[in-house]
Parts: sequence; structure tokens; C-alpha cells
Amino acid sequence: MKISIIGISNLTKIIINKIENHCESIKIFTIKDDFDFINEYKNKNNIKIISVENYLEKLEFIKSESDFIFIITDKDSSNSFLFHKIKLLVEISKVQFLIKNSYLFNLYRNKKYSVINESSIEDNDLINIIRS
Amino acid sequence: MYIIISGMNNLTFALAKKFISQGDEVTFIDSDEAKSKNIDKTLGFISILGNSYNNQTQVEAGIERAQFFIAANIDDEINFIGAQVAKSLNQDIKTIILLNNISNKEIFMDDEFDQIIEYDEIISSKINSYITSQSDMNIYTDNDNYTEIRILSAGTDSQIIGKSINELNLSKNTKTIAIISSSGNISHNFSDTINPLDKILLQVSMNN
Repeated sequence: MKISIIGISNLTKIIINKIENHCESIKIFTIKDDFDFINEYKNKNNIKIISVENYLEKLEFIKSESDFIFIITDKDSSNSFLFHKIKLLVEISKVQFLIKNSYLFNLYRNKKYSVINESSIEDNDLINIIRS
Repeated sequence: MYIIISGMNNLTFALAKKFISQGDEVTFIDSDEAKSKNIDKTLGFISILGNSYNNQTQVEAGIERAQFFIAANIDDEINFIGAQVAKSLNQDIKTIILLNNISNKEIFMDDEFDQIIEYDEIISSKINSYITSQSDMNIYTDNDNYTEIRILSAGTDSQIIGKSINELNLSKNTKTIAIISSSGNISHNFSDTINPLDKILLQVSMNN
């Protein structure tokens, strides 16, 4: 199982901790150089951090490299937009995206999108979701 | 009508001025304080400082009673999510999106927005309209033979429409080369009447 994570945010470490022993590889795509984060994971064999200039331009590549995608940048607007773009390329059951604003979170959840936030991630059975 | 505009820029400023002069009510939402102050100073206190995709900001702006939501930020992400929130708060509202990047069009088409307008489309139609309004245009000058090739455009409301070339009283140093119709047909029959949008290709001698 190959996992891609778009963006570094509070949720990135939580997700990595939950899934790293259950997948073949995790690629983290980021537009910011978070050196503490990079140093923390640089010795992990199955985790690779890839710097990109623009997520939208890399979506085709990310899609081709992934069995499951998490979109978890710091900005709700970016996560929503990337999700709507990527849902034209892959099944929405293969993508989860972070929305911090509670109104938007409920709006998307009512549309049956796989939306996550900091409180839902704790109850989220990620292993089964990415394997399904 | 009540119109909410997300994004303050030259285009939305000009739009708001028009709406207000027509008696419409306008409120801007933008997170740029300097622009907001400028709007308040020039158009009156009609701006709300905040994130245009925040539901509370939109409610404060009166989204529930608005007829139109114009998403005109320079960032397509903000326009997309802002219009989604507007629709969710007021299902009857008409959402108009100004699309900055054409490669994002398919995302907007996939959602329930009412009108998507490309910035490129606005600019190109403005340029095209300027060029077509120039009814007589030089396209080539032959300095060796002292002649110019010119295009005379009939447009849609020109006085030459309905007349033949012979009735135009062109100067004697002007020779008609062809009449090109809007569909691209080229005619050398100069007794035909000129139709709207026809273009007349002329050779003009610069010798007296």
C-alpha cells in the first residue's frame, strides 16, 4: 500500500504514526521546508519527503504514485480545492482531506466526502480506510 | 438587488460603482484592511473585513437576503470555496465566479455555480471590441510603391451597411481588392451590398 500525504500540518505526524507500520511507503509532498519535520523522518526508510513548488501541478504524479491520498495542508481552501481537483482523477474513496472550519466540515460530510479534522482523526480507523 | 462581492480589485470596484449608480445595494468581503478602508472612503461603508469563505462573515454580510454572490478574488481556491459556502447558506442565490486560471475551469464546471467568467475572456473581448470599433485600419504599407493596404470594417451599425462599393464614393486613388464576409467568404463582386461585419480590403495609393 503506497500512501501520499499532501502538506505538513498538525495532522501529518498523527497520520504517519497511525499508518507507518501498515504500508509499503509514505510520500509527503510539501511546499514549505519544515526542517524539524524533515530531520525527524529522514532516517525512516519507508518515508520520503518531496519538496514541490505547486501541488496542483503535481497531482497527476501524486495520483500515479499512490493507492491512497491524504490532503492535509494548513489551509482549508487549499485542501478543498485540491480535493475537488483530485476527485476528477481518482475515486473519492481513495482520498481524505482536512477541513478545520466546522461549518465547512459538516457541509462536506453531508456531501459524503471523506473529510477529516483533528477530533475525527482520533476515532478514524485509518488502517481499515486505506486498505478498503 | 442586493449583491455581495468577494474580492476588492479594480474590476470589482468598477462593478460596484455601476451597481450603486443603478440603485443596487452592494457589500464587499475581503481580508485586506487597506483595500477595505479605501472602499469605505470612496464608496461608503460597504465593506466587511474577513475571510470570504467563512460562514459567519457571509452571514454578517447578509448572504441570506442577497440575490447575487460575485466571487472575484485573484485566488481561484478562495472563489471556489466562498461560492460553495454562499450556496449552502442561501440556495436561491446566484453565484458568479471570475476564473483566474483556465486550467481550473473543470473543477468549477463540476459544481453547482451559476456563471463562470474567465478573466482572459473579459480582456480578449475588450481588446476585440476595441479593434473591431476601429472601422478603418492600415494593415500594410508598401513604401516602394507608395501604397497602403487597409481594412474597412462594416461593424454592426455602420452607415455603409446596405450600400454597394460603387455607392461608397471612395477616393479615386483607392482600389477595392475584395469584400470578406464574417463567415470568411471572399467576394470580388462589388455591386453586392455590404452586410454587417463585412470587411472591405482596399489598396490606397499614397501618390496624389
